Amino acid sequence: MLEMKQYDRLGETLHTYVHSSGMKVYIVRKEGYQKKTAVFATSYGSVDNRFRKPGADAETEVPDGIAHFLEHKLFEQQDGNVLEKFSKLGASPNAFTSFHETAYHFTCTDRFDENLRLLLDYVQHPWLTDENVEKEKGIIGQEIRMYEDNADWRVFFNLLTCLYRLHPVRLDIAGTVETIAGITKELLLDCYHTFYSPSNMALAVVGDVDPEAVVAMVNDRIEQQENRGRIGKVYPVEQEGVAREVREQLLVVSMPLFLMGVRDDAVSTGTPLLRRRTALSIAMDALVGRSSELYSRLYEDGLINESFGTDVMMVPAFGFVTWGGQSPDPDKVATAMKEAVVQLVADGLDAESFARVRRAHEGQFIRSLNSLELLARELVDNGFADTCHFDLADVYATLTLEEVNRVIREVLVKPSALSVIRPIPESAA
Amino acid sequence: MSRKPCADAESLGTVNGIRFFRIRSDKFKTARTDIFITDPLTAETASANALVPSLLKRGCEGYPTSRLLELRLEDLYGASFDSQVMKKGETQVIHLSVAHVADRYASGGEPLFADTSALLTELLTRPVLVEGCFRREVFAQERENLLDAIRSRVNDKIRYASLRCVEEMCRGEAFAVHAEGSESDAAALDACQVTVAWEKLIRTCPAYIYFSGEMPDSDVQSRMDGFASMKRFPTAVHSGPVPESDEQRSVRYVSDVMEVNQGKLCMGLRTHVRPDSPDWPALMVYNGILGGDLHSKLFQNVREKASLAYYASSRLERHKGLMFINSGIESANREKAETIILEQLADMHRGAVTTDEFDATLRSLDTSFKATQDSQPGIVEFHFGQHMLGVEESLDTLAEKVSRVTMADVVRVAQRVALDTVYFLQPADNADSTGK
Repeated sequence: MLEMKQYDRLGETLHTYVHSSGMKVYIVRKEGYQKKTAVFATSYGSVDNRFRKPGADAETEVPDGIAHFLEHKLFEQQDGNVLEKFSKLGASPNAFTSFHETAYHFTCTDRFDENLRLLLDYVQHPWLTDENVEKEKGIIGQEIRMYEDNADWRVFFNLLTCLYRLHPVRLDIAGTVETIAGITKELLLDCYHTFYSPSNMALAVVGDVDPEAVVAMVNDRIEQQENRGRIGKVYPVEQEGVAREVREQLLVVSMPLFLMGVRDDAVSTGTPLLRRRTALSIAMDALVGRSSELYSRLYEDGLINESFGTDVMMVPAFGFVTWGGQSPDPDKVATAMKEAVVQLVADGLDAESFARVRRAHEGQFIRSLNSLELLARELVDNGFADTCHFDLADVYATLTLEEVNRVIREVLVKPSALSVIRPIPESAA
Repeated sequence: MSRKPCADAESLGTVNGIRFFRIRSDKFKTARTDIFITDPLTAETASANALVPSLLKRGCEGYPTSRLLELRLEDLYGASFDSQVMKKGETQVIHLSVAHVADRYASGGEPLFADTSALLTELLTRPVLVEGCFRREVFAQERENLLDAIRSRVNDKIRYASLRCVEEMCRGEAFAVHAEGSESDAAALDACQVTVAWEKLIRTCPAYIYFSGEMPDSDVQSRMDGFASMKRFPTAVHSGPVPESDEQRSVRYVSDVMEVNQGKLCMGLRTHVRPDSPDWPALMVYNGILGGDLHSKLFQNVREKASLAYYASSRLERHKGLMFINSGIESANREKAETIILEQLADMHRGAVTTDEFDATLRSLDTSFKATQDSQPGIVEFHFGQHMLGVEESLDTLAEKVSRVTMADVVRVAQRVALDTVYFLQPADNADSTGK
C-alpha cells in the first residue's frame, strides 16, 4: 500500500511503498520542477567484504573492491552499454559506490517512465564475461591511480587507517591494483546475487511524478517477489583506542594538508542515529565552525584557511567525526583543537550557541531540499538506516542542549588521530 | 502536462550604471541576491581585484569582524555569504552573493530577504577602513591566503594541467592571466592599492545585480533605491569578446615532469567561434558529440573501447572561443591516447558522426537546458553570462536554436576548430609516494 505523510514545516509530502520482496520505495513529488530523478541502490558497499548469506551459518570473505567493481560492470549489458540507452532517452545516468552503499541513478526531463524502467531492468541483469571483467581492470586501475595523486583523498584514507585497526572502512573503496587483480566473474556474481536481492535494496524518485505510476512500474518490473531475508553483515569489533596517532605522507602539494578525527563506535539506527548525528554536527560547528571563537583565532593566526571544515559520518556500520584543511603547521592546530575539545567536554556547550547553530543547521537543511538529486540520495541512505531524511525537521524542533552535551561527553573524549600530507621537499623533487 | 514557463530574468532597468534583474519563481525554498562586477583582465590589476572579495568578507561597519558576520548569518537561519573571483574570457568577474531560506520559512517572521540583501550591500560598500585603507593586519592575512591559493594550484593535478595548458597556449594574451593573478604581483601589493581597486570596482565598473525567488516588491525597490543614491561614475561596458585571428600556427608540445602516479593530458584548441556568434549553438553540439557526455566520442573511444583512461572529455570556454580536452593516462600510453583523440577530431572534421551520436547530444543538451531551470544559482549564472556578452536570448530561445542545429552546421564549425597546444604532466620515472 502506498502510504503518505505530510511534513508541514518543510512543505513536503513523502509517499512510501514496500514491495512484496521487502524493497522500499520513496517518492517525493516536486511540482514546478522539470527534472525527475531516480536512485536505485543496494545496501552494499566497500565495507561489506565479510558476510553470511540469508539462511547460512558460514561466513563468506571476498577480495576488497568488489562492490565498486560491480558498479562499473552493471553498465555493460548483453545488448550494449546501458549509458547509450539512457542517452537515447535523453537522461544522464551515473552510479557511485560508497563505504556502505552502491547507487545507480539518472536524471531526466522527459520520458521518465522509460528511463525508470531501464534503471530497474539493467540493475537486475548483470552481464559478465571473463573478457569484460578483465577489460574493466584497466579502467579501474586508472581510477585508483588518479586517487593516489589526490591529496584530499589520501589524507582522508590515511586518517581512517589511523582510526581503525580492523574495520574495512579503513580500506580504499575501489580496493587496490593488487586486490582487483584477484576479482573474477564468479566472485562478482556471488556478491551480486547476495546483495542485489530486492529485500536489500531501495528506490527513491523525486520530481513532478505520479506516485501511483511509480509503484505500478515497480510492481511490474521487480522480478523477485519473495523476501529472501536479511544478509548477516560481519564487521570486526574495534578495541578501544586508535591504531596509530599520526600518519604522514609526502605528495606534490604547496602546503601541508591535515585531517583529524575520532571514532564513534556506539552505532545505532533509526531516530537515535539521526539525533546523534545531528547533535554531533551542531557540537562540531559550535566548537570550530565559522562563527566560533576558535576558528577566528586559528584563521587570524594564519594556521588555517577557508579550506578548513568539519564532517560527521554516521551510519549503522560505523561512525566518525573529522576536521581539517590546509595548514602551514598542522601540529599547532592539532594541539589547539585537543585543548578546545577538552574544554568543551568539561564546560559543555552554552544555550545561546546551541540555539543559534541549531537554527542555522535547520535553515541549511531546508535549503538543501532544493536539490532533487541530493534529496533522493538522502531518502535512500536514511532509509537503509531505518530512518527518514524528513524526520530531521522533528529532530531540529526537539533536540535539546542536554542531548548535545551528552553526545559531546561520549564521543569527543575518545582519542583522536592525525593524518598529514606534507609537500615533497624541494631537493628531492 | 503543459510546458513550464522558463524562469526569465526580468529587467528592472539600469540605475546608476548598475543593471538590475529579477528572477521570479516560487518552487525554490530559497531566495538569493547576486552581485557581479566586471573589469578587463590584466596582469596589472588581477591580483588587487582578486583580493577585494577576500577583504570584504572580513567585515563591514555594522559587523566589523568575520566572526560577527558569521554570527549574524547564523541568526538569519543559516544564510550563506559567498564571494569569489573568476574569469570569463578576458574579463575578470567579482561575484558576491547571499542565499537564504525564503521568508516563509522564517518561523519568527523575520524579513530575511530585506535583511540579507541589506547586509550584502553593506559588505560591498562599507568595509572597515582605517585612515581610508583596508586594515593592515587583515590585509596581510588575506594577501597570505591569496598567495597560498595561488601556490596551491599544483594540488589538484587535473586542474593544474589545464591551467598550465592555458598559460602556454595563450602566452602574451590577456587570457593567460589567472583569475587570481600571479604570485609576484600579489606579493607586491599593499593595503592602499587594494583599497583603490575596491573603489574602482564599486564606483566605475559595470555591475549586474539579480534578485531571485520570492520576495516583497517593496523590498526589491528599496534595495535599488539604496544603489541609486550611491556615488558612482559608471564607465561604459567594455568592448566584449576579443576578435580572434584565423591565422593557423603549428601545434606546440609542452610537458612538465612531476612526482605523480598518473599522467595528465590537456589539449587546447581554438574554435574561432565568437561567443555571440550565430554559430555558438552549433559549437555546443560539436563539443557534445566530441567529449561532452558519456555517449561522446572521447568517452567511448578512449575509455570504453581502449580502456586507457577513467576520464576523457572536452569542454568549451565560450568567452574566449577555446576548447580543452582532458584525460588521465599512464605515461606509456600517451602516444596511443593522443592518436585516438586526434582520430576523433579528424572524424569530427570530416563529419563522421553517427545519427545516434548526434541525436544523443541534442537530447543531452536539451536536458541540461531544462535542468538549469531547476537550479536557482544556475539560472542566475546563465543570465549573467548572456548579459555580459550583450546577448539577450533566454534559456528557451537558446535551447530552441540548439535543437535546430544540423549536422551540416556542426561540420561547418568543425572546419574552424584547430589544435593549438598539447600539454602533458608527466610522472617522474621514480614516482613513489607510498606512506612512510
